[in-house]
Amino acid sequence: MHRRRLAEAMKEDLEYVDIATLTKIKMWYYNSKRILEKPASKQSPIRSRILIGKIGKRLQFRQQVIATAIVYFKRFYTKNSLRMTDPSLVAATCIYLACKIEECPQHIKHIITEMKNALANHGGFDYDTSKVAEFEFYLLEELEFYLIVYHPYRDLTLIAKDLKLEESNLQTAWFVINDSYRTDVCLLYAPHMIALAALYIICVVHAERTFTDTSGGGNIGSSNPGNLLDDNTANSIITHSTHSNMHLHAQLNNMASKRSPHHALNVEGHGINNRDMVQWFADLNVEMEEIIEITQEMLSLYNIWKDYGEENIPSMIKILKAKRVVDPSISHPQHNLLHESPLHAFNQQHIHPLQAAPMTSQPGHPAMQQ
Amino acid sequence: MENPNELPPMNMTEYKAKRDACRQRIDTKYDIIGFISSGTYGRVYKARSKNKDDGKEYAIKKFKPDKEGEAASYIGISQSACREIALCRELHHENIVELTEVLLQDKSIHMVFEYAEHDLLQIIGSFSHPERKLMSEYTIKSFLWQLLNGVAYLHANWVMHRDLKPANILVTANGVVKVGDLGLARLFYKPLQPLYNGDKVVVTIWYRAPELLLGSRHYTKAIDIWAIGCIFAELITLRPIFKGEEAKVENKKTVPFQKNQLQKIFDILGFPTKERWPAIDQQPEYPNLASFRQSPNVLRSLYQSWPIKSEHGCNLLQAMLEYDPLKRITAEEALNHPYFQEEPKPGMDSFAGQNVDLPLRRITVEDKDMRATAPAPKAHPGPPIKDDRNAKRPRVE
Repeated sequence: MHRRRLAEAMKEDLEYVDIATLTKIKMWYYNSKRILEKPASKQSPIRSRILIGKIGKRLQFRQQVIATAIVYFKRFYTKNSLRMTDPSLVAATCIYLACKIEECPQHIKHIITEMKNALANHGGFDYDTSKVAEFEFYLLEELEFYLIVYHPYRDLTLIAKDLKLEESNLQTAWFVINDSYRTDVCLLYAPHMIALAALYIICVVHAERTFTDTSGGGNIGSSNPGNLLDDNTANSIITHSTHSNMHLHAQLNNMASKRSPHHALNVEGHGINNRDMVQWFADLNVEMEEIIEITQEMLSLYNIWKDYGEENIPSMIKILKAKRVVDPSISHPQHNLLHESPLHAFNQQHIHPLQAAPMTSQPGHPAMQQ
Repeated sequence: MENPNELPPMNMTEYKAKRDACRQRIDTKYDIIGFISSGTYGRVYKARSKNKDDGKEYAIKKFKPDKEGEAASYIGISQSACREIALCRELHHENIVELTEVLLQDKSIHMVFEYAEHDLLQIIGSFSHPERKLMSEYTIKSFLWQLLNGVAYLHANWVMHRDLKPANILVTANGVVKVGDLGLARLFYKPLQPLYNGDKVVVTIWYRAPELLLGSRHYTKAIDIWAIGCIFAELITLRPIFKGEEAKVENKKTVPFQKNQLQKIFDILGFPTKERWPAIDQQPEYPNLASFRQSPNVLRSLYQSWPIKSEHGCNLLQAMLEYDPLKRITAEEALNHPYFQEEPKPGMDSFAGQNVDLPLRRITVEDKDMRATAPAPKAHPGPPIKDDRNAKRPRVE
């Protein structure tokens, strides 16, 4: 998937609103999906810390479904404009299909009920079973029947095990990946690269933290689980963005050299030794530039996020949709351009889990041991 | 629009019209030659591409809309169709049936597969009727090797087939094995919940592994290997090795204990001792085993009464029919088994130099109307062999 195609897909919508607004509108839809997570997690109240492991597993499962649904949603909108379609129907159908593909099927009526609840104050959800099921056909076609989505979580878990990463750092990296679904990185980069970028971000944050805050807060971000990083962390990432054009290697080296032994100790206390990390990243046979690009993309998300206000979204959507009445003819010629060859255009940049990332390399699968 | 949060109504007519306009109809791309078979999922037709340069034949699997009637309505695509589409879209292997494309029409999904002239059920049938003639060891070994080759590919990609049986093993006119029907197949990489929670019953009873019969929640890809072991024996003797009678499902919540099927297995392989299968006492149905009498493993002496004499062949069969799923041979290991190193060596054309004369797949040419959703009329000539194994796939949704 190229940036150019992404830009093309947004062209029509962008004639009506600016890019930041569009991003915020899309974010709102990703968020409304998150609302759907809540009813299920209510069933497992946080009774005690002992249960965290279990809930975590449960979350992982929910997140994977949500992540798949978001990828479907994004792929759909690489070929269609928000203006021409109803994102709430698209979103509901994506969730319905993702549940089936992730092997935790939900009854279509259940999803419709949840959508109605989630959108109660935002125009409601006016579709019945047959409408969602009908749209499933369109969605399948738009996805070209490529339904298996490969997510960075798995790579992150493997890398974390490999590095013996501390739980809190794994958590933070995990949240960074959660956040990444609000950007387009999952369309543009391979999942293992996103996992590496998430790891890179927490390394940078750690180095930054130990400079500015020698007391070293232990659990970055974990106070705000499943959501954006806390302000502090986000800010420290943003302040760091000025540096991140530099080559990663040089940068990490730089940070490592500036650090006093005291700081180094402190960092090691978090389970991250930057000196080791420099070596570790250097030993990886991957495009470092690409990791930096992903990081940049994430940082700009945190920037937009700063002044994202949920209450403004409905009016933004109105602007996007309303102008169509004023001059409906504008959209037509352009639309045809975008959709000339729906079945051939969106080509092989889908993630092919069974090919691009062979699954054969991970030994000791849990199911095999049981 | 008094509520400031109210969004303008959105109308998708334009979008749908645009999409519908570029959708290609099946009859513009394919000539339907006739009807092949039907099952719980829907119907399969044989077709030929209208493209003269292609000239290949295809099998079009039409999933029936769940509610049949004059006005079929959309109620969502079945889990099994979803699985089959999702997996077939990604899997490409010589020994796995290839999905060419998926077409949506008349509220139904149509999966277009490469066509295979035969399947192992039909081949075994035509070797046993009207008169019994044995399959050559070369043919058996080639079928077995290619089957293992396809399944090794599935397993390497974390896909479990979960319904291997002769009817699902297709064979092309050129003797190439194509593993088909991935409607029950699924990914098993870090399952988010025990596989058992998704489907209570998998695999047709005669090919069902002992851990499944004993109610195991955490079964593994080893269940596919057990089924292949059963198929190997059936290719040699032309009869199912463990032809048990299925205990019927009485209510949807409980899965019946398959005593008769287990008895058939114990009659040949002996009673499963804790020594042979250390974790056997952890199987949910373990207490039920008390009602069986002890018996020895007679597989080896039984094998000696069969036409194939290879010692390695017997060892491989025993390894695939190992009680303990952890000790059971894997597809990858089986491919490297000494049995495949000795003559006759397996080949990609299982019929090469064999002078086999198999009947072609029976096609009902009168029945070309893909829009027909009602079951085939009674007078309809059935498939060449009565396919009682394929008729009902036990499954609890």
